[in-house]
Formats: sequence, C-alpha cells, structure tokens
Amino acid sequence: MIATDTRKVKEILPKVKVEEDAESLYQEDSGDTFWGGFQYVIGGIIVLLMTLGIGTFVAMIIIDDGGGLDNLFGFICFGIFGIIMLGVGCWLLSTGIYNTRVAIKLTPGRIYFKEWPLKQNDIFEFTYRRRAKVPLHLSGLTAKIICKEVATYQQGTNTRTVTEKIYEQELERVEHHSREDFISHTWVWNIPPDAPISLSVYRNEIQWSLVVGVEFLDFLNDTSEFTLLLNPERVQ
Amino acid sequence: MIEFQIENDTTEPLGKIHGRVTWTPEKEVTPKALIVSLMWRTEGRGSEAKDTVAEVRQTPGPVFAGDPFEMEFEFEIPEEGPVTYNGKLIRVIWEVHFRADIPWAWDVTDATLITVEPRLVAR
Repeated sequence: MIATDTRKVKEILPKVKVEEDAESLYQEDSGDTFWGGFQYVIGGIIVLLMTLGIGTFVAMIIIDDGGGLDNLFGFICFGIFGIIMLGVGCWLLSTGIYNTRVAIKLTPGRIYFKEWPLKQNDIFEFTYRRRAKVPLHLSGLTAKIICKEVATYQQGTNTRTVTEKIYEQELERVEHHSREDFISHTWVWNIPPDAPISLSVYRNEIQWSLVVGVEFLDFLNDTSEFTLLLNPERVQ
Repeated sequence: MIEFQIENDTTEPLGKIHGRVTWTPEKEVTPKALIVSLMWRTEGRGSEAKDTVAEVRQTPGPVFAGDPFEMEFEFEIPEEGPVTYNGKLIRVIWEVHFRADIPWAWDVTDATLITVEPRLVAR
C-alpha cells in the first residue's frame, strides 16, 4: 500500500549560513561586529542613565518626606533594584566596549573548508583566517570542538532551558611569537564514527560548534564561534 | 489484539520499512478508518517534538469479532532523519503506529519501535 507523505516538520537540521568564494566554502563569525558592540554600549548607557534618573527621583521623594524609618522598606527595595540595574548597565557597557575595541582592530574570523556538511567518521580540515587592521603581537591560537544537547521545557509559566555538554575536543594549540596582521592556521579534526548527528526540532537540539581562540600579547584575547552541521556517515 | 510484523526494524535515512499489521477486533465494529503511520518523537527533558512522516489509510467497512484484518505498509525514512538517538537530555524515537478510528468509542491503538541508524547509503 502506498504511503502518503504527511510531514509537518520540515526542518530537522539547524540552518547554518555557509558562503562560497572562488576557492572554497567559508563561514564567518557573526559576533564582534562594530555595530553589535556599539549597540551594547548604547544599551549600557541608557540603563545607567535610567538608573541614575530613577535613583535621583526616589531620593528626592525620600528627602521631601523627611526621611526616617517609614521610608526604610522603600529605600531597601530601591537599593536592591538599583544595584541589579547598575550591574546590568555595567555589563552591557563593558561588553560593548570590548566588542567595539575588537571590531576596530580585527575583522570577523572566518573558517574555510572544502566539504559541507560534515559527516561522521570523516576528516574535517578547516583553515581559520582573520585580519588585524594594525599588526598585533600574536601569542597563540586554540581551537575546540563542542557538542551539546539543549532541551527547553515549560515549568508553570516559565520556559527553562537545560544544556549538557556531551563532547569536547581541544585541537592542537599553536604557539606564535610574532607581530602579525594576518592570522591563519589549518587544523584537522577526525570526526568520531559515533558522533551524534545535528538536530534542531521544537525545543530539542543537538548543537555542534567550533570555538577558535586568538591570544595576543598587546591586545585583548578573543574567540570566534562557528556552528557546525554534522550528518550521518555515507556508506556504499 | 494488534500484531506488527516488520521485515527490517533497523534501517537508515532513505531506507525503507516494510511490514504488516494484523488487527483482530474483540467485537464487531465499523471503523471510520484504519491508519498505519510512521512517526518520530522526542523524549527527555525538553518538551515533546513529534512528526508523522507518512501514513497509509484504509476504510474496510464492518470488521467482525475474532476475524483478523491485515494492512500492509511500506515507508521511506526521509533523508534528513532525524536518526534514533539516546542521549543524556534528549531521546529520538521512531515508531510504526496503528490506529483504528472507531466512531463513538475509544480508538484502538498500538505502536512498535524501529531504529533509524545514522548512516546514509550512497545511491
């Protein structure tokens, strides 16, 4: 009897943006852009100014009321709120400044490769490339492959997400002692035959990623993160 | 009573699953439809994701008590899977599911597990 296709879920694998140039395929780290960093800076400034403004307003009300123990509860509540908001504002500002500084000196990292998607029991050879806008003193390069399960569930009105790292492999660390304006290194990863296949369905994901770390002597260390897509092994 | 007979309960993406379901009703009924479907679902910490990949339907008319009714099926596993998986937070389970849609009564259902291995046979 002929079966009717009734699939509703069309996407089983995560969407990963891979581009092609004349020689090979490549993927670019979408983080660390100048605009991304600038947005964090603006967000941080807005949060800090709002906290300062609300703080001044609350303080004026308390002073007008003549202070005293009657306002102690309100003062403590606002104090806790103010500390949290100051923390959020400072985190946004520092992240923004960090990302903007990196984006001013370095272009986004890219990995170049020949085969896509990756397959179990295969070899993944990739070249990490990144250009510094002024020569920087490079000290080392690291690369790490990570696989994690991400499960999201509902608990009452809250949506919770749990993550479990199920695979991690550090690739060979590369030592550098030179001033460079072009960073490039090729790594090879032997994909295990029993590596879990990528999955991205409603509230359940198996995510593969590659994290490349760049260490400098005269600048901030930085990382580039790329999403990998692992498919089943192809057999004859 | 529902009985599944599957020739190959382990396959791979693009592989086929052949078999037959035999349903022996306990009393005479006229089901609206008999449906055999191939489906996958997730189990574990995350909310359930599921999908029915393909199905076969039949409208047999009256079915008599103790009289076995057989349905054959052949399904193809999609290329993109997902494959059977048993992880720490997530499990992906494939099954062949039978349902007799009986008017004004509980549906009769049963399922049997199959395994979709993570290998893709080159064609």
